[in-house]
Amino acid sequence: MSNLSYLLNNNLVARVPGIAQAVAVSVDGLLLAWTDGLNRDAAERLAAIAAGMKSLLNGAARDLGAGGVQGNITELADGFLVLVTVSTGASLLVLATRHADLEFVTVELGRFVEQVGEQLTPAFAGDLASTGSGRP
Amino acid sequence: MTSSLSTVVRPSVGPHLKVVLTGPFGVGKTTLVGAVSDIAPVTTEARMSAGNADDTTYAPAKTTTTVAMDFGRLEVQGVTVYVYGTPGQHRFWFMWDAIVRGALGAVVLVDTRRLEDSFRHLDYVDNARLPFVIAVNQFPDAHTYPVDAIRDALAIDADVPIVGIDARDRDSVRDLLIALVEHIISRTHRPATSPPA
Repeated sequence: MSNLSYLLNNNLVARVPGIAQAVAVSVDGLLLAWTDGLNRDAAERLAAIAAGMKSLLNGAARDLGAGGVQGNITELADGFLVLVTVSTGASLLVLATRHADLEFVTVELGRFVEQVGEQLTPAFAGDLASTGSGRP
Repeated sequence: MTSSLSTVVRPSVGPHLKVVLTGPFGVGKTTLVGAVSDIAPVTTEARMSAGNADDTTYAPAKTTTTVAMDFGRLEVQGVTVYVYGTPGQHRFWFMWDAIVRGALGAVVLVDTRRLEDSFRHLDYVDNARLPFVIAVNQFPDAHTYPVDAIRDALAIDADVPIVGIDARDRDSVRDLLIALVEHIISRTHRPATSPPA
């Protein structure tokens, strides 16, 4: 069982000043983990939105010939939405507070992604097969 | 301790699958996701400008269009189904490959008044080798055709389910998704055939 949600809470929200919430998103846009301040429904939507954002931004990057999307920072009235992509295609979408040090936050996010690496690449396609082949 | 444990496990403890909903502009994709989702769906509708490129002949009251995707979630027979809807307009097609990634099946939504508008959506899911079902969104002013006639007109194999639906009706859409899940499972457990070259 993954303890990725635990790591998001403990290694990001609790330890990195300025990080308020986070979701981890699989390469196919499904929710892998989320922090305590979010309910699951909102976290699932955020995961889908992170995948959509990445797709839209990749569309822009392609037309501009500027390489793939590595991250994105969106300024909100009350904070910053930080998207970090992982080489495997997974991503983290993070809410940083209004007064966060964004450079620090993004460095810490990069470090976190290196730490958790493999947990961000679960196989999804097998799950249905296991349903159909025995379990009631 | 179970209550605190439940916050650290992934939602993938239960069986789940991702499916894609596609079909032409104005056929009812956003409506369908909104009708069936157990959670408030993600919608990315934007107001259409007057110079918009797509034809609204069959959706004259349509004032908004999806600019990125739709997303919803529901439980079907113990399986959590994530539904991703593609944008209908041609200019957003660059997003499709990302939206389809990881999907195990698809619904192609068609309008009998303009079946030909769904040809490229059928081609897309076929090329992606996704098991799919065809959903005929029954618009009130459209003629109702027998399933066989629709199958012939779309040149669809006999093993592809064709389901008549009302995209606004939750039960109707649930039945559609049950048909899709069953179709995916039957395809998954069929002896593998060699993929086309």
